[in-house]
Amino acid sequence: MIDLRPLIPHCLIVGLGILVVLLDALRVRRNACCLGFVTALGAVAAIALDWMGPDARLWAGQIVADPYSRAFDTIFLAVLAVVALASASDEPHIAFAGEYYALLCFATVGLMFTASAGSLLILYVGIELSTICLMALVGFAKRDRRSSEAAVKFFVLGSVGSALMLYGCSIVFGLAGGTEYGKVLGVLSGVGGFPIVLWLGFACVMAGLGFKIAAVPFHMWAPDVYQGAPTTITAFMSTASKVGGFAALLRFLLVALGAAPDRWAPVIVALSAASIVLGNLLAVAQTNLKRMLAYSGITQAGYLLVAVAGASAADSGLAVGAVVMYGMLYGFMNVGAFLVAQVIEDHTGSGEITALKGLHKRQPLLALAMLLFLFSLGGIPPLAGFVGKLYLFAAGWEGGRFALVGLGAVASVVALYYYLMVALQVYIKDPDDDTRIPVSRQVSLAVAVCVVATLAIGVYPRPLVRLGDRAATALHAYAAPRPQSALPSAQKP
Amino acid sequence: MTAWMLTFIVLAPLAASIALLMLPAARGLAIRLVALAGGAATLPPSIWLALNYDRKAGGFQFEQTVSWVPSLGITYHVAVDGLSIVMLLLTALIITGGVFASWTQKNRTKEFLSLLLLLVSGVFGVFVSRDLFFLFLFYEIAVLPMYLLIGVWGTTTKLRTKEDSAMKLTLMLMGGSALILVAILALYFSMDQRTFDMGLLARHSFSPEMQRWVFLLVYLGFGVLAGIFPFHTWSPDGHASAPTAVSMLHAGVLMKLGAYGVLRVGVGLLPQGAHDWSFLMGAIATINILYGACSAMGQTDLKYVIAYSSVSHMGVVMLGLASLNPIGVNGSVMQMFSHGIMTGLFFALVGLIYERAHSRDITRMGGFARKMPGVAVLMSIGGMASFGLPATSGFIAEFLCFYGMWLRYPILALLSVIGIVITAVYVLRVVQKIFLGAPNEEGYPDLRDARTTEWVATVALAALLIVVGVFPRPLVRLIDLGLRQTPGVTYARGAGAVIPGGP
Repeated sequence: MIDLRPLIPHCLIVGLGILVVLLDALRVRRNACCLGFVTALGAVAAIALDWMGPDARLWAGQIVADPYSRAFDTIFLAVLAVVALASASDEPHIAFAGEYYALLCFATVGLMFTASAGSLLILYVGIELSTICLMALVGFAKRDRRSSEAAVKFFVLGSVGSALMLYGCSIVFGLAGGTEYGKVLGVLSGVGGFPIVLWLGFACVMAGLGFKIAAVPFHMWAPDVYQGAPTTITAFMSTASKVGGFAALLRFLLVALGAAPDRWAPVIVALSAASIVLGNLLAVAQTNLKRMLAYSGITQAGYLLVAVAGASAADSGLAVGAVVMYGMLYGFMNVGAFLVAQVIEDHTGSGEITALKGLHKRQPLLALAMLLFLFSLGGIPPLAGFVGKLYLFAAGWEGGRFALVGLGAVASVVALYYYLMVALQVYIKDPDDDTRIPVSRQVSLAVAVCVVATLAIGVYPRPLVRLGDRAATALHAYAAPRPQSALPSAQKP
Repeated sequence: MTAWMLTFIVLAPLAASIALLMLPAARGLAIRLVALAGGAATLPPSIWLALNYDRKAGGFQFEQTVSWVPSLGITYHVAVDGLSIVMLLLTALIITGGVFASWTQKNRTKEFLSLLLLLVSGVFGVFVSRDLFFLFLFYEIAVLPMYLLIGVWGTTTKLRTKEDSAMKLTLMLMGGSALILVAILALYFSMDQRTFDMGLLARHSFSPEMQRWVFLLVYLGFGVLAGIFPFHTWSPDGHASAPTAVSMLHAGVLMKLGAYGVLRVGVGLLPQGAHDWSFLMGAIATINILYGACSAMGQTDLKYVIAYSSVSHMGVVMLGLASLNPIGVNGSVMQMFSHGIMTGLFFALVGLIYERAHSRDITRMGGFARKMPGVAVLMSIGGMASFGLPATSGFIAEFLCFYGMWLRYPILALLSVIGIVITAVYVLRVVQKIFLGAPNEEGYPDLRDARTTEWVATVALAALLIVVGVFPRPLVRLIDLGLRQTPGVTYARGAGAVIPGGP
């Protein structure tokens, strides 16, 4: 009898999705915004249940429940809770509110499986589950042409990405005789090299994951989709979905390909450098807030890849912790920024950065919150983004990626420029019209959660560092015993 | 109790800053009083520290350590030596003066003072931190509020809008801090244990090759804030655009953070690297002194004059530092203190003049001394300290800096002394143009002398310039105690005979 306790939180979230659809169908809500609250509560409960469950490897290691997967689950669920909370105020106005939350829940479950995936099969299923749900959510504002356009784009490009990934999985399957990471690892040590066919498989899987994390050159979809999608969905996609990609990527690289880090590391370095440079340069030119955040998100993916590249070193102590930590704090600060963008867009009808003009007079607290999110994204202490970025760079440095860290540090200054250009509108410019911008109680609460998290993590990062450490230990324990590879592994200089 | 003294100094302005945000914007007086309390609350503890510092024991005292993130080796570790205490005193004086100087500030006062106090909290933090992580954290807290302070409350000059000045300043300084970040990572990962503690780092001897490159990063990174040529260009624009209190703080204290960083992190942790680059530092400092002074001479905007004079004077600070001998470095820290007070005084006075004359164009001023005799006297005192007239603090400081450099690179000392002459020319010219000569009545109806609160800060600062100039011993002694513990400050070639007691 297999111990299924580790899957209780997954079941809970699936059940939650079904529950909200039923509640909606039974017309329980009546302007009470209760569906959003129910979803948020369910997500929080799932976090607690997740941490109470035992460590396990189900079905011969196809699904792995360990502190690593739990750390990422916590990120997804926290983002789900905040996004659900923030969506609650719109609930009376949108048709199919139940389906909206249900799809969000299912997307989250997909991400949770992605983090737990111990085989390419589960990885693919998890990624697809979340991506397909998100495709529907991107087009959720059916009457809005931009939303539909974004959905089509996301669908077409996403299909290509997942097709490539599936192709890659099948190649690896053919080579290893199984999709479990352990089997892939076996091939590597058995063949004693990195066969060219494995390269092909690896490249295809990377393309799929690159699409998920929106790293250059798989980023093309992000700006259009982020701009077109309902903003709460954009917030979810740019954080939870992106981090989900990283959860899968790290486990895939460190476990399945853990024996040949010097082979995949150059690819990661290239992706990282390209994302940092291109994301930054394009973000500078943006006038639309969501597009700017989309490009800045590409840069942030590049920063995360710095740590992943650092993980290729033999004793990569910091990398996993850094990614967990940054994933968490990035979730809060980026969702926060998108929520503010949403409030402004709803009120002014414009998504331009100039729509934020004089926010400090029109809604002082929201302006202050936006300022904090922007500075945090820019990596300014004592906010969370600073500690996170320092941690990422430290991980990269530890892995010997000195040039990449240097590039990242310089790029942060460029990034600060476009964040400050938003801050300029928010805080320095005076508004053209002085009317107050109303903020619903639900959105205020969600923004407040993000502000508190951004500040608290920045000032006292210790609990999160410990979470990251636990995740790292778990992942390394899972990867070990790493067979002695015939390949020379990257030496720490 | 004493262990919390330093933390109190850091947190008092921060607490006031947060408290201000919660006050309603309409309560003008309450807001100012809270801000004043937050700023002035740091003054008694700073003086107390200066008096109670155990001069026999020396080294770092009033230590407090709280483990922050043990797995990464981050510790909240604060302690001060004589050098830091002097900088604390300076900061406490300038922020108190700064709050007084912004007493009549009207637009969004609450946020202005709140940001000002936040910034100062960061400055204090840098001066007391013994942990590189926290030092860097406080450093950025000290730098970033400047963007908003200049962007919102600054004035647009002929050359540049306030938004552009603010952006230029922020990006250049952040570029510097990117270099510092890389340097910190390099230091952190070359240790066997994971630690950011500067005490432990100082005990580790890094390889000469590494010291050379990391020191360069540290020097350039912090140097941007110290206004080293050619990275000084943010400073004139920034200072000219900034409101009075911000200019006071920025030129008076913040630029010192740069020099302090080079001294603490660079010279303190990478002594060999410092010696490798000392000629470069000296040469750049000389350019700073001469170029800054010449530029100041060419300006007609009063604030640009003072701003360029800051570039020149920071050159003196860096010159003393580059000598790497106790005389020069003592002078350098003295100059930080002296210039901090002096430039704080200058910007406060310029603020007063601008408020009444509504112009900063010195070519259109004249005869102001009749209407504002007090301001004229104070300005003259500041000016004299500026070109190092004996009996002002500037004399002691500059003399030590030049002498220290003379012992190391005489040619640079000779060249840079010319800067004093140029300084005298532009300072006297400014004083003459503004205060002396025929009055220019029609244009300036509002001209009158300083008033109650405005006297407090300016007179106190001017008095300090003279007191320190006449009786510098306690201050020099404090600084010297700090420097003795700094690796890298050694006796120059052939100078051992000049300074008794040298190794």
